[in-house]
Amino acid sequence: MTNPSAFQSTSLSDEALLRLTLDGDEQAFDLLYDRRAGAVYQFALRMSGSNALAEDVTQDVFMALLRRGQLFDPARGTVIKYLLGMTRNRVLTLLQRENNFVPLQEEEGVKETALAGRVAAEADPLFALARHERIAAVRAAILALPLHYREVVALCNLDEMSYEQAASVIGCPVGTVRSRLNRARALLVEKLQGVQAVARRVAVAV
Amino acid sequence: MNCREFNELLNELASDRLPDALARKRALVHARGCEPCARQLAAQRALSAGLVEFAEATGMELPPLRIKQQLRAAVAERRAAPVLAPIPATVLAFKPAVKANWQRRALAVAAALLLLFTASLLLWRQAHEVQPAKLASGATLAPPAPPEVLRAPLVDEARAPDRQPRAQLAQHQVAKLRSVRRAHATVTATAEQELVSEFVPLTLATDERALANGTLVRLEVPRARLIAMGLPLRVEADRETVNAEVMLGDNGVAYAIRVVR
Repeated sequence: MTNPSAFQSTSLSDEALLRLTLDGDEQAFDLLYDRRAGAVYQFALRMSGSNALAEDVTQDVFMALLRRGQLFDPARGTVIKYLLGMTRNRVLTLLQRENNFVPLQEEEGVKETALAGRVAAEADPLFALARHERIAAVRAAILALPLHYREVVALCNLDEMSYEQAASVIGCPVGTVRSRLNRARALLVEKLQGVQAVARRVAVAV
Repeated sequence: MNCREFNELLNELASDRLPDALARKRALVHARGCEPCARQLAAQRALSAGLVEFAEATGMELPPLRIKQQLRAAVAERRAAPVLAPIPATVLAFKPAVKANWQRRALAVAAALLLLFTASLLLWRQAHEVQPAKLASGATLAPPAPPEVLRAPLVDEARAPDRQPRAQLAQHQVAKLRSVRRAHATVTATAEQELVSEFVPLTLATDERALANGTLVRLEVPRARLIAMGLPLRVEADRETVNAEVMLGDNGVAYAIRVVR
């Protein structure tokens, strides 16, 4: 069993925590999960736009880590890249599977209700509403991108990874990441300008 | 710097990720003198600001606590039942999906090899154990095949609960078919001028009334199909067709088949 004093400091590396977790150490798992679950969840959420799917993916990824964590090779990268690689594969699988289904609108309704609550709680509701609209427009534009563009935006622009790190997560050359990101950003600009143009026309009409 | 060079640096410039200070300065100078590039830079900067806002908004979101609790329970189970196998120090790690594909492929190849080996074994056994089918005139249609093969019903061996009773049933059925064949005088008259094999039962079911009123139907059948049914024919010429006669009961059931040459 692990020496409990080892956990007085959180300076243990992810790799060390993973080894301890695989030995059945719950404290080590807590630390590793608290440190990395947010990144996994947020990446899945940004890729899918669905909280439910992001939750499923987070659970699947950590469960896979517990079952097949011994396959992790520190020589080939860090634990977080390993986790994000698994997250990416899982999200792509689930999204491709869900393409066959018509999404329910309930989740969107829940989001709007929560948004209204948050806006009302802000000090400047008008400013908050505008900000939320901008965020919603960006979210919609990202989700409208093809998956191979969406993932580079999520990794490079939202998770602030370098091209090299993103390439290792995706498993493609750095040049591919760079060119995909350029194309993705150009598409995003087009989509957002379209949204803004519509918003302006609506404002004038009102 | 021209517009093409500017476009190559545009994203990094708009995201403040351009490490080369000199390139950044040159790009900004170009944008000041080039209106289309300046518009592009402004649009990309607005996008970067939107992405930052979106990242901040989603960066606050965390998975629900129940997921952690469920995973923690899995860790506790792991402690209760520790892994006995040693953990390899270095293995492929960064492409779990690809690795899974390799495992699947390896399994598929192994299964295919096993299937091929089994099929080869069966064919080899068939070729070495089967004696030629005795024709009505004493001639043979195929390499050596024992009489019991001809008597054996053409159904899956594994489904038969007991080999001995089924063999007896098949013998009984062949005897019955022989008597039916005698009853068909006109067909037999034709058959006497030709070489015909023994009837091979196609089903374990017997229906004397159906057989008594049955008819012989002559067909041209691919040799491969008959080989697949278990008839002892030469495998090398499996693309040819052969003449065969099928004994049909008056209920439409095909009871037996024989080869005609």
